[in-house]
Amino acid sequence: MAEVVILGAGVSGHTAALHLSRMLGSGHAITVVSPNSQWNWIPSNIWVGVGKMDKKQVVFPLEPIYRKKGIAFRQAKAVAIRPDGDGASDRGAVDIEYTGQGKAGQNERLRYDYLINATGPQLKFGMTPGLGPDGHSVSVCTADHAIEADAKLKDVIATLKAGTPQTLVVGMGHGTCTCEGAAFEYVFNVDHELREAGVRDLARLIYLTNEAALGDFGVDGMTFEEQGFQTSSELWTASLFRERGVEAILGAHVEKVEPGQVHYETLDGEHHVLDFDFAMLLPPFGGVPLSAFDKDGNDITSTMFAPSGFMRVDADYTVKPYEEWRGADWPTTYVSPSHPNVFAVGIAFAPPHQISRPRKSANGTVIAPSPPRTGMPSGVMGRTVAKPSRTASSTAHRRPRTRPRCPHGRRVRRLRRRRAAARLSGRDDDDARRPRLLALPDRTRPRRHPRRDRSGRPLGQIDAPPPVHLQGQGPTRLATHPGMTAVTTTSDPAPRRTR
Amino acid sequence: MNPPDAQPVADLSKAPLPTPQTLRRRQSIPIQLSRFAVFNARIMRMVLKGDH
Repeated sequence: MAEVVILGAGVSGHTAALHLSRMLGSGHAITVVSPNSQWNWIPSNIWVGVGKMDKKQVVFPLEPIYRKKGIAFRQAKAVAIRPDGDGASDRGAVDIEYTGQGKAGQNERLRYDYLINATGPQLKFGMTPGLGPDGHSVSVCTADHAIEADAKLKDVIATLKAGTPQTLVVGMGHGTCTCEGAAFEYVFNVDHELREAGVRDLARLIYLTNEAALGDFGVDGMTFEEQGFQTSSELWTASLFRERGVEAILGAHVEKVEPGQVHYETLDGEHHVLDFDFAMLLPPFGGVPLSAFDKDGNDITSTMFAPSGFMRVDADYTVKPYEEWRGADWPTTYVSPSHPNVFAVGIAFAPPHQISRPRKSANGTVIAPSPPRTGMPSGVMGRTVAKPSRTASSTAHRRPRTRPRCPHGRRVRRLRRRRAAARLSGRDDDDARRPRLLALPDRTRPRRHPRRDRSGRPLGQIDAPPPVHLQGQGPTRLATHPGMTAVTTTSDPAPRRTR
Repeated sequence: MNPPDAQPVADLSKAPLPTPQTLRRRQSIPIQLSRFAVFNARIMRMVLKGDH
């Protein structure tokens, strides 16, 4: 019998728990430890934040689900991991402190054979003075935060209806924030609410972000194929912002938030002050405070965890420049390098580096979006660590092989894996693996039409496309700041296929 | 010289605007229902195949 302890009941922890209960069957013990009694579908908090959904629509109680599935539930927070055991036993243990179930404040030491750390993020509002519900801005990180945001938004709409112009700011509360997608969605939810209320003309809506370009989303932007052409997320998002009249301030690090004022620095090193009547600014994330001790009680937190508080796993943490970052740097099994029975998934694992190109302002301030770990990949990670080959069921519940081994089976499987890897490498950021076209000698290089070879020319030599004004609309009223790079509609040159 | 309260707002004047046909497609319930179904099928495929 194996005992599996899962710390956290968010997307990845909950997914891992449900998969394990299905895969392991009876005879094994699964325990979920979460300080919250309810599960929150966080991506829907942006709807709670504009009053389109109630809190009860985005949360549900965990304990009845786990009882039905035969999973033990402890409403508690983990405070320490003892992966090598302690004086009483060699088995790993985790110290928890109850936050509910009538035992609030009590401590317990849980033994485990396998530990999955899915503790999620710590919302670090404190990294920016005045940020957050305890400061002067609102957030949609939790359902309760979103309810407060909705109440303040309704106040602003009431003021607008009285004929007083208002400025609404939505975005990132620090230069190293992640979750730009949530702020992006929320700003257009707010835009929709203002339009529905008939007060959009009186409102100035500003998207304040640490992204250097629109559509970055912490992943350096995306490229899509549409009607036979490649287009960028930058183009799509810029189009949406222009269409809806939402102003964008890019490459911004919020320094502090005061009542009605947000102070920020931009990549050009300039400092600015923006007056607001409503500000929804997301906080940066860090790992939850969790210590680790060896069998003798020595602190090994710095061995198991990165300085950010996230747990180290099987990623490549070698410090290297942006040009050498590869998809292969990222983890595959999420297992701790020091303890093969400890895993970290979701936001709890330490990423090897950012995905978006890191930048510093002229003053040296880091303004670099952190890598996003949204619901779908978090769920995939939860399933990955729950797989039989990764945890308890690998040895306990492997069914005997009933069919004879195919003599070519291993070869076929290896070929399939290579083909799958080749397919994947063409889609991720692993440029080194991409098939590259060799340059043709000049005498054999075909002459290209002057208007059809734009993607083959350096970006700086490409003529700016003429402005497109459809539906009778002229240029936007948005002003250009001399220190900021204007959003262009051209993306990086796409690899050109030649025959 | 910019006024002290000038904000460094990005210039989006070159961003393309949707065509009237695109705007009609956005409000077409049959088109959006089929897009919803296709999108969810693609996400489900990614979830089921999304593995290491």
